[in-house]
Amino acid sequence: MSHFLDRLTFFKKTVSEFSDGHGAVSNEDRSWENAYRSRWQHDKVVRSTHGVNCTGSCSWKIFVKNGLITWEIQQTDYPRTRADLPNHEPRGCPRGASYSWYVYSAQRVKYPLIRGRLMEMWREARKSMDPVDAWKSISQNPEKARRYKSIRGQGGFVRAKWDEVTEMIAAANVFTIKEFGPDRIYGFSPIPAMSMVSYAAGSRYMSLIGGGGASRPTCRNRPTGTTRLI
Amino acid sequence: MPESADWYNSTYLMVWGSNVPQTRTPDAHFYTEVRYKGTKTVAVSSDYGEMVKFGDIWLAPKQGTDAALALAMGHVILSEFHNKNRSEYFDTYCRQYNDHPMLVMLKEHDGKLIADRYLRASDLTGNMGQDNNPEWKTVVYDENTGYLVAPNGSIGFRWGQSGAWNLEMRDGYSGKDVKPQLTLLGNEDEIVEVAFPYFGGDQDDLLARNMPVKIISVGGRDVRIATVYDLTLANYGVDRGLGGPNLPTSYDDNVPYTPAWAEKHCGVPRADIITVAREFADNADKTHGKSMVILGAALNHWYHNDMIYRGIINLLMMCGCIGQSGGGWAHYVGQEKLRPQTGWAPLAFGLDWHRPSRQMNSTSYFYAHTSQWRHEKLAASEILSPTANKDLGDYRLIDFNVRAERMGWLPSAPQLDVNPLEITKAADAAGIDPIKYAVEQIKSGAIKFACEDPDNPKNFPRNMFVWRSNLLGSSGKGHEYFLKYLLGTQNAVLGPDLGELGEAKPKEVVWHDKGAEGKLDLLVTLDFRMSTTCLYSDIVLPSSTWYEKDDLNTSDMHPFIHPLSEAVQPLWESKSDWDIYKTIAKKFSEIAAIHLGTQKDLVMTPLMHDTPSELGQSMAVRDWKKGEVDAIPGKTMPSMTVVTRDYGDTYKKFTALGPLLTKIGNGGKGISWNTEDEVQQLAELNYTVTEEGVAKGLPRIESAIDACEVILMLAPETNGQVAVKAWKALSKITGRDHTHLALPREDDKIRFRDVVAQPRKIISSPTWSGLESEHVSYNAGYTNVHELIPWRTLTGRQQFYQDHQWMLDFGEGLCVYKPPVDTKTIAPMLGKTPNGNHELVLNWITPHQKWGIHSTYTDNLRMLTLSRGGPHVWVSEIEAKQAGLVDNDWVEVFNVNGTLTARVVVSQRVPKGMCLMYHAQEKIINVPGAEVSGFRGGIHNSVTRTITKPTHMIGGYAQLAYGFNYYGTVGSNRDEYVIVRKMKKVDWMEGPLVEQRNQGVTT
Repeated sequence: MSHFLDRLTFFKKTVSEFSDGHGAVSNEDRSWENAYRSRWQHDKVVRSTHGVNCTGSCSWKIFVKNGLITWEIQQTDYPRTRADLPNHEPRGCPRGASYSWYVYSAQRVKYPLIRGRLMEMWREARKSMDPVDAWKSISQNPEKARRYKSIRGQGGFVRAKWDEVTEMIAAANVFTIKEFGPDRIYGFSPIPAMSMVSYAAGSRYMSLIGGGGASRPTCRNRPTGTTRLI
Repeated sequence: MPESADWYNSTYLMVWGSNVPQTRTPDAHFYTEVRYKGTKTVAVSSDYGEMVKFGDIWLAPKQGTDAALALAMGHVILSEFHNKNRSEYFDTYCRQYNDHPMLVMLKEHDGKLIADRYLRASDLTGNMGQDNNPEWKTVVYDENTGYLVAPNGSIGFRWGQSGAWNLEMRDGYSGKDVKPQLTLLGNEDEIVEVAFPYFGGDQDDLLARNMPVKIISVGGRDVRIATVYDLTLANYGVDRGLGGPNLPTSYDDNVPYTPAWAEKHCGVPRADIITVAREFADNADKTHGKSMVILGAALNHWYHNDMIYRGIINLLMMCGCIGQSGGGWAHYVGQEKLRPQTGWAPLAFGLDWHRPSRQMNSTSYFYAHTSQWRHEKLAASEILSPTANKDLGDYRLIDFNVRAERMGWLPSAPQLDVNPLEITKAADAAGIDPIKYAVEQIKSGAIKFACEDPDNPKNFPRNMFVWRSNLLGSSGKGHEYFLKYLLGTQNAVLGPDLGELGEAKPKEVVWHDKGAEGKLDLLVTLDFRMSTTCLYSDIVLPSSTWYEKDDLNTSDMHPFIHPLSEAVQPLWESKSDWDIYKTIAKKFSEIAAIHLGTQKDLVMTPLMHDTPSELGQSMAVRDWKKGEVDAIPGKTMPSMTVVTRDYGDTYKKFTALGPLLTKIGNGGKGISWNTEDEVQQLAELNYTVTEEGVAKGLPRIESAIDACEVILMLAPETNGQVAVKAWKALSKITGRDHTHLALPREDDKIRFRDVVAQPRKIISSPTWSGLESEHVSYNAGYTNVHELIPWRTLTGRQQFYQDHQWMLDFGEGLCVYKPPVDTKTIAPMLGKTPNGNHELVLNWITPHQKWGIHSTYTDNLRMLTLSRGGPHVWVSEIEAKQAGLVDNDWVEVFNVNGTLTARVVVSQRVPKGMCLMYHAQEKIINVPGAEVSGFRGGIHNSVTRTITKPTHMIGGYAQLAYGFNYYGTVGSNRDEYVIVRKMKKVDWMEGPLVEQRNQGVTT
C-alpha cells in the first residue's frame, strides 16, 4: 500500500497485540526501510589510489553502485611488516576520503572546452584553409593573437568536439615544428610517481615529436652541495 | 630517504620543519608509535605546527635561520665527540664513508690562505700510477705508511675501468689496505691561519683560524694541503688547543658557530642547543647511527636551503647515521620515488624509438620565459664570497644560467635560435656533418643559444601542454609574471623591470626595452577539474578521474606499488591521459605526414649525471665562448645528436614498443643490461602489431594497462630477473658481487593484475640505495654503507666539502650560515597606496595544506566545509592587534610582485613577524577583487618571484651534474616579505567582463 493510504488508515494500522499489549502487530508498508538497507550496499569494490603529490600512495577501496561511484574507504590488506614493527595500514587521510565528491561535481571538466573567440576565428579560417594554414593565420596575426590571448583567464569557454580540438592542437604542433622547431613545444607535468602512465603518455608524445619536456620533480627544491640520497 | 616504517627503528628522532601529522598523515602513526618504545622526539619548528605537540622538546628557531642552529649543534658534537672524546664508532665511519680524510689544497688570496680544490692523483708524480682519469681521483694520507694514496671509490674509478669503484679501504693502485688519516694534527708541517668566508654580517667576512697543514710539492711548487676533517673543525670554530684568532674558548663566546652565537641568530636558547646536540650524538654513538632527522618543506623553500640542508646532513654524517637502519636523513618534500624508473623511462621518453629525448629543468625555463629575470633585484655581488673572482660581481643571475647552458651544465629549451630541423638541412646543403656544422656556426656566432635572447620571437616557447599539474594555481612562483609575459593577459605585476629601474642589465642576455608579452601561442591543459590553470588555458581537455583510469603509483614512504584502476568508465566525454595523447598523436600523424614527412632533428643534451659526461671539466671552469677552451660537444658544451623523425609514424610509434630496447638494451643510473627476453615476453603478453608499417611485429601498447605492463616487465623493481641482471651489471663496476640482494626473488614478476589484487612489495634494485628485505626497512645510503657501493660523488664518499669553482666563489665550499636574502619587494609599495588601514610588513611563509594536497581538494566542498571555505592567511595575535585586525577580516596581501585577497586567521600558532598562508588555495573559490590592483586577487604565488641560485647550475662535475627529475635551479619563495592590510571594500566583481580594466595603481 502506498504511504498516502497508510496515513488515511493511521488509527487502524494495528492488527493485533501480544505480550499483554506491550507488542503490536501491524501491516504497514515497510519498503522505505530499503533506502537505509541499501545505503551501504554496493555492486563492486575497486582498488585505486589518488594520483596526487602527497607521498601517501595509499590504497583505497572505491565502491560502485548502480554504475555510480559512491564513496571510498581505506584498504587494509597490505602485506604485514614483521615482528616488532607496526604494520603500514590503515593509510589514508580526510583529503583522500573526500575525492569521490569531485567525480560528479560542478568542478568536473566534462567536455573539451575552448575559448569562444579562438573557436570563432578557427572555424572561420578553416572554411578556406587547411588546419596548419588556419593556425598560422590566427596565431601569427598580431591582432587576432591579441584577441584571444588578452582575455586568457577571463572566461568565455565554449564546449567543443574532440575532433575539432585535437585537429587544432595537432595543427598548432605541426606549424610550430615547421616554422620554429620542435623544441618550441613544451610539456609540463610534475611528479611522475603519482600516475606514471599518465605522465608517460604526454612525455612519450612530446619525445616522439622532439618537444621539450619538463618535470618539476616535486614541491621540493633540490639544493646542491648536498650528497644525493635516494 | 627512509620509508616511514624506518622511523620506528630510530632511537632519537628529530622532526625538523616537517609537519608530519598534517602533511604525512598516513605515515604519522610511526612517529607516534616509536615514542612508546622510549625513543626521544625533538620537534623543530618556527610556528606551533601540529607535529610540535608530539615532541619531547620543542626548538623554535626564527624562520630561515635553521642553518645557524644546525651549525651550533655541529660545533657541540665536533667539540665533544670528535675533538675531546673521540667516539670510536664515529672515527671508523668518518674514515670510510665521509670525505673527511680527503686532502684539499690551500691557496693564497690577498695574502690569506683559503681552501681551494681537492688534491688529485694528476697533481702528483706519475699520476700516482693512475692512467685512467687521474684528474678525477682524490687523495688521502695512509696512516699505516704515511704515504699519499688515491683510494678506491672516487668518481675517476667509475668510468673507463672496472672493479675498483667501491668503498673498500684500498689503494686504487696497489690494492693494498689503507687507513685514511683523518687529521694531520700531530704530524703537521705547520700550524697556519686559514680564512673561512662568513656571511652572518656581525663579524669579519673572512674568519682566520689556526689549523694543521702539510706541505708537498705539486708541479714543482710547494703547496699546503689539509684534510677535510681539519678544515671542518676549523670552520665550525672547534677549540683544538691551537690558539689563534676567532677562537671561542667556551660555548658562551659569541664566535661562529657556538651555541651562544646561534642563540643570537636563531633565537633558540643555547642550553637547549647543547642538550639536543649531546643527546643526538650520544645516541648515535651508542646505537651505531640510530639518530634520525625527518625534515621537509619548511627548510627546503629558502634561497639558501643548501646551507640548512648541509648543516643537518653534516650532523648525520659526523655521527655515522646515514645508511644505518633507524638513522639518517628522512627527507620528504614531494612524491619523488618513481620506483620502477628504469622500466618507465623508455616508455616515457620514447627511448624505444629515438635517443636521446629533450628534457629541461623547469625553474630555469620559467625564469627565462616568464621574464622574471627582467625583474631580478638580487645582484650576484650580494651573495658572492669575499674570495670570489671579482668579475662575477657584475653578473645578473640569468647570466650564470646562460653560461651553464652554453657549457653543457644545464639543458636548454628552446635550444638554439634556429629551428634544429633547418640546421641539419643547411649542413646537408653545405655537405658538412650536421654536428660539425652546428659547432662551427655556434662558435662563429652565426647560431646562438636561445637563452641569450629570450625576448626574441624566434626563441618563444610556442605551444605548451600542462597535465597532472596546476602550474598557474599552485607551483608556478611569480604567478603574475606568468600572466603578463608568458600569457599576455591581465596581471598585477606591480613593480618596474631593471630597465625602468635603471639598474645594471644582464651581460650575457640581449636586453629589449619592452619585454615580450604573450609568448605562448597555445596553452592546452588536461584536467578532471576546473583548476586555475584550466581557467587560463586556450583549450581544456577533460581527463578521467583517479577512479576512472588504469595507472601505477609509488611513493618514498612505503615499499608497495599501487594501481589506479577503472571503477567506472570515464564519465561524460573525459578520457584517460593515455587515450588523450593517443588521440592527439593520431591526428598529428595525419597532418604531419602531409606537412612534415621525415626530418632530421639536431638534439642537444647536457653533460648527464650517471654517464661518462659527468666527468666534464675537472678543475677550472673554462668557457669556450670566451676562448678559454675549445668548444667540444659533450665535454665543454652540450652533446649533440642527429635524430631522424618520420613524423607521419608518430601514432604507430606511440602505440608500439620500439626496436631500440632489443638493439641497444636498457638501463639507468650508469649501468645497462640486455633486455631482449623482456621484450619477447611483452610481445607474448600484449600481443604484437599486425598492421603494416614501422611497428609491425613489435609489442603493442594500446591501452594504459599495456603501458603498465611495459613498465613492470622492464623494471628491476618489479621483475626479479631484471633485478639480478641489474645487480650483475653494477657488480662488474664495483668489483663486488651484489646479486645476493635479488637472487631470492629472481622469479618474482609483478604484473598489473597482481597489484590490483593486493599491494606488492617491490624488489631491491641498484637504482636505489636502500633495500627491501625481511631484515631492514628501506633507508637511503644503506647499500653504500653495507655493500660498499660508492656515493656518486667526486670522492665517492659523502662530502663535507664542495670544491667546484662556483661553490668556492659563492663561499659554499664548507657549510656556512647564510641569512635569508633581501628580495627588495616592500619599500616601493609601503604606504604608496593607502586605504586608511595599518600596513603590516611580514615574512611570507607558505606551508603545505591541511585541507588540500597542493591545490587539489582546496576546491572540494567537503574540505571547504571543514576549513574557512576560501582563501585565508594566518597572523599572530600581537600583530593583528597592532593592525586592528580581528579573526575572519578580509585582508589584502601585496608587494611589488602582485597582490592577493584572503580572510585572516588570528592565531597563537603564528609567531610575530610571520604571515602564513597554506599554499595553493585556488583562485576560483571566493576570491574578491584587490584594492591595490583593481583586479581579482591572486594566489599565494602572486607575491613571490623565482630567484635562481648559481650554485644550482653547476654541471658536468660528478654529483653536480644534470639528471632528469633530480637536478637544476630551484624557485625559493620563503625569503619573501609582504604587506598585509585590512581591506576597506570587498568587491566581488560580479559585473560583465571589462576587457581593458586599468590597474589600480600606476607601475
